[in-house]
Amino acid sequence: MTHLLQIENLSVDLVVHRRYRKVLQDVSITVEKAEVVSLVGESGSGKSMTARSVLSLLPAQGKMSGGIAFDGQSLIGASYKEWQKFRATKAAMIFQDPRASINPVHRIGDFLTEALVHNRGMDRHEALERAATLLEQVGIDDATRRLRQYPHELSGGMLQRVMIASVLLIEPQLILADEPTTALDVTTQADVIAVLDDLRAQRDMAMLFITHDLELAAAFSDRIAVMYAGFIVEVSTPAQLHARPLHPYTAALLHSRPMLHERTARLPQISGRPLSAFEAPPGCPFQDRCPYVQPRCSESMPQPLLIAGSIVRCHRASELELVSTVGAGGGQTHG
Amino acid sequence: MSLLTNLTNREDHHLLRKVHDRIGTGGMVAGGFMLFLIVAATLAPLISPMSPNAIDLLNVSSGSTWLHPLGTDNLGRDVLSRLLWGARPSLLGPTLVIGVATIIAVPLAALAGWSGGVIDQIVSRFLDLVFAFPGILLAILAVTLYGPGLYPCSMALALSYMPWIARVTRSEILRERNKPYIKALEVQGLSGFAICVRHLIPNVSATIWSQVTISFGYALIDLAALSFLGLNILPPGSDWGVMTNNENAILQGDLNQVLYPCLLIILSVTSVTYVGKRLSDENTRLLK
Amino acid sequence: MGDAVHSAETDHVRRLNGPAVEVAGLRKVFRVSGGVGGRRHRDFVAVEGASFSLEQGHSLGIVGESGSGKTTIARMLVGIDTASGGSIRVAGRDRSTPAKSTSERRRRGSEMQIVFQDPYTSLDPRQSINRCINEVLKLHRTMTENERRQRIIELLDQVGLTEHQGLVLPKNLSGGQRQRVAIARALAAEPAVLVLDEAVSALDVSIQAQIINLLNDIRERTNMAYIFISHNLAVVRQVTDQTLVLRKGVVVEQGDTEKILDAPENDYTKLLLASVPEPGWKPRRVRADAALSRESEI
Repeated sequence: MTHLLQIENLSVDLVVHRRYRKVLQDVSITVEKAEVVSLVGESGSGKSMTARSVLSLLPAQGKMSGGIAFDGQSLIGASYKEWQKFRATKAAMIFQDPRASINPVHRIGDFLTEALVHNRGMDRHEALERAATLLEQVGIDDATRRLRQYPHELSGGMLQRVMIASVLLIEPQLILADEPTTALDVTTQADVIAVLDDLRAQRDMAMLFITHDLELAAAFSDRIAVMYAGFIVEVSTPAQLHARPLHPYTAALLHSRPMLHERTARLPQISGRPLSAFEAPPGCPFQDRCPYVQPRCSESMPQPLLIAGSIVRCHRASELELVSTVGAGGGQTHG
Repeated sequence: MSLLTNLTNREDHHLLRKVHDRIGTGGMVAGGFMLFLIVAATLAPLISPMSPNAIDLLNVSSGSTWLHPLGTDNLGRDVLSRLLWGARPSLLGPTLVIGVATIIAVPLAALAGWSGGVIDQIVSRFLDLVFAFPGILLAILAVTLYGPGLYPCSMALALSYMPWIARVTRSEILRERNKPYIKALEVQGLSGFAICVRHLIPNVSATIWSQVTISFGYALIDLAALSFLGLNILPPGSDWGVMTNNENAILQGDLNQVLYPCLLIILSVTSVTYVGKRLSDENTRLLK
Repeated sequence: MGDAVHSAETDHVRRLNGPAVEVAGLRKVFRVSGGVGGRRHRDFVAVEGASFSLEQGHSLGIVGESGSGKTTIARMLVGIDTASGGSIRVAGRDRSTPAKSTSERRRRGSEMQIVFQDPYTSLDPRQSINRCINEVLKLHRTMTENERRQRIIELLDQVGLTEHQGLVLPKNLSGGQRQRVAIARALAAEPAVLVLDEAVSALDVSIQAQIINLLNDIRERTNMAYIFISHNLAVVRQVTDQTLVLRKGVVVEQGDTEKILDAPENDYTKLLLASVPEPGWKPRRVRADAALSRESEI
């Protein structure tokens, strides 16, 4: 069976301060047709870089190894032209800050129709009509007026919807969304997520959704991949992840977020700070912060294990009984 | 903690290595060249083979010889000696210009940027006013009042360069003063003067530096031009600008007399600008 | 490092007779230039009639979305912005008008301090951590060189940093560590009230938990009052005991944090709560009654 997107053993090195540094290590993940997969992690975990690799949007001098295949066809070694074609027709990206991704001196209408008019030779009026329909679909009322406005006249939430509409214009099979709602207010975030959710249902679109918010990922996706220091440490369904996290990092992450519905006497915290791939010690990157660390953790990075339908990379995954929540006042405090 | 040990290890590097880390090989070459020029200018009385005005009538407009490594000009004066002596006003002049301009510009910019409101308006309009006068024009004015010479020319140019430095510094200070760390110090109750002197100005120094070095280059060229016009250094005194003004040599096709001073002007302007740019880039990078 | 806060810290916060903060009818109007050349002006009301009071040792959350005026309130409290109307009293002293002298500003600084959101721009990049805190100590307290050095180590320890970390420049510290320094710098003035303006919002989840615990520890030990500004309701529950919900500059609901988060009365508060993703959350449902937010966006 072919996956819509298949990333296999992807490793990426980037030049930072004139030196090559690891940002992704041995990342493998698949996205099926009409599936939403979330990549969740803290800063430096490599979640954004994974999405960028899929579109070959790495910074200059980036080194990439491993496999990326779309619909069964390998993208590795594709020419610049082929990549461009791939990005223009098959997959598209939504970024965190819509204001930085939309040219401020062009009207919304020009921004939306540019690709259609120039790349596909569509008639301008026809293109504007298409754009208006799409704006209505992403929840923007009074679309014809919006098309004549400039980006600064629209709120952040509106602009992000315009971004989504612009992505829909090319009717991609896969959307890569890099923290698309992080810069938005919660109520607007809910609204934008609802738009994305509807579109996925109506159009069978697959999505690779990048976020630091575990709850958001859980509410919205079919599968969640938790990343740490350039590795995917656990892949699971939202329900499974919350009921029984398998990796100590996932469990710790779930514990340390404050709860909306009850006050915890003291949040169980993970000592230290999240590491980037290049800072991580040999072996498991989480070893220094892990309460269950053993000598073998510093010897080798555990290979992916399949446990109860989830994939986990931890030497002790099969013996640990981790839980996702700790009752008020209870729980271990590491530190 | 590995970051910390890295940091302390780096302090142990040899000085040259540290300089190289900051300005690169190109910067080392450019900086070395400037250093060489400064040392040569300082030691001119000791190292120049002849007096810059000694006339060797037997060797007029000669090419390179053992006696005159860079040849002589059409009056038979040793070109190498004249270049060495000429380096003194040629380098001192722009230093004076930019030094004075910076000393006036930075406090003015800090005052305007920090106070804002009416004071900013007044200072900015004043800067606009000074902007309206071209430097060369101010220099001609100064020369008509005080007679030709390095000091009137330098002071006039200093005045005209001041707004360039002040304007860039002011806009940088306006940007910097809204950063949270400055706001935090304001909330602490630190005086405006202390915030400016201890925090604001040091943190915009990269910008000041790059503006200063670029202006240094321009000032060097301006002063040379003034000498060329006979307003700055007057013959028989000499700087590189005076040396380029030798129509006899040019008419006779004897270009190397004019070539050497031109080359020095171009090289020193390029070097100073390059080192300045590298330094300010590094400065920004190191603190990130 | 970690949560080790073990210094036998004495209670540095002075005892007050009245409330730590009293705000009545606070109002802020910005003049926005509009039209070609900015000749025409219109007034934009950022905060309208906010009133609250905060007892010593208590923590007040100010909650709202962008443009709600929550940060404007913080800026007026600490004197970065001047209030257009209403009164502010901190530690029993009026600060509704700008400070007239440097000594007056310094005194206000010793009464109320602030920690900002972005740890990367909150510290002078050229100043080592020790020098940063030393500067504040010199400003507010008469101490010998030695006493100051001792106090710096004490303060660093209080926020979970080592002596060694005091020697480095901010760029050598992570975001979470920098935020600890910003807190230590604020504590150095020994204020009665600490304003935390989205102070944990820019941090990673695992670091956020550390800083929240640290803030709760400090409040418990020093009896300091907090004004905690945040858009994150779960964090607000963890740090505050009273909450004020702002919408477009107007207070729509205020009271005990528990009550507001468990049984909100105002529709907007309900919408805010419903918008927070959690297990079983369906964005569609929120969207159905999102008319409120839609309108606020245009």
